[in-house]
Amino acid sequence: MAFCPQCGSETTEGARFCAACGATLAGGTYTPPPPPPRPPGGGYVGRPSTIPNYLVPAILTTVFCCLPAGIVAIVYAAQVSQKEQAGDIAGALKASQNARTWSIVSACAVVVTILIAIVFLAAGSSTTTNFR
Amino acid sequence: MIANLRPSRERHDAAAPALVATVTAGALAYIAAVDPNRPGHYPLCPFRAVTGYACPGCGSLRALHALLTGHPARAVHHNVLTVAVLPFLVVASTRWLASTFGWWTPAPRRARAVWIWALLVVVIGFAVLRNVPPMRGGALGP
Repeated sequence: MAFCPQCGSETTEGARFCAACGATLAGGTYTPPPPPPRPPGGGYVGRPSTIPNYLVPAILTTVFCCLPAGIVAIVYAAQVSQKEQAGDIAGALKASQNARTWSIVSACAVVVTILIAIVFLAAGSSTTTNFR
Repeated sequence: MIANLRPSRERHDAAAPALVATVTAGALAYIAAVDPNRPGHYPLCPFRAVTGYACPGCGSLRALHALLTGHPARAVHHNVLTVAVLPFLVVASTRWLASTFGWWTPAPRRARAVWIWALLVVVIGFAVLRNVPPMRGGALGP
């Protein structure tokens, strides 16, 4: 199998010109390695994807939720990256699950807090102060 | 095997980002319109209500309100951590939205573990410093 040195497309064995780009071929003797396969649609099929570490929800929790859950979620997010870098896929997946769980826990806590506040405000309580 | 365990980055369900974007826009509009400095409109931070100490997030609503009304210096005073992580959150959200709607598919990127551990140290350090006497009520807010 021969390839055009100009454009990399496959050429007929022994052809003098490349059928794709028209470049002169050196008698079909030049056989470079085929170009790396390009995934369609610009996807990243060729490279490994990553295990989600839920770092964004962890940071959101820490900054906007006022709960220790955010700290726990950051710890698990770091563990996902660390274990994945070390090749411990099973451990990384477990940490990923924990990070996800803590994000959900903190999100529910926020919703409950807001609901309680709405109830208090609706009841006309003046004791509810602002987010300090 | 690994490929089966990982979610596909190719195509996301558009409902979740659309919901998040709508809720975020609504919340930001509310925070911009209703001043958190005035009491009675927002719940008290549960951590602060229980312990009396300021958590790393305390002051974040006032910081957002200050930013949205054009007072960046005030925002930094209320909660410098919030202001510092906002660019990261904006970039991450933009990548998520862009990949969902297929405008642009960014390469999956992963923060190195050391940076996340560093973030943890910063968050805990911030939480401690803003509660000890020399800094309490000072530059680290809230």
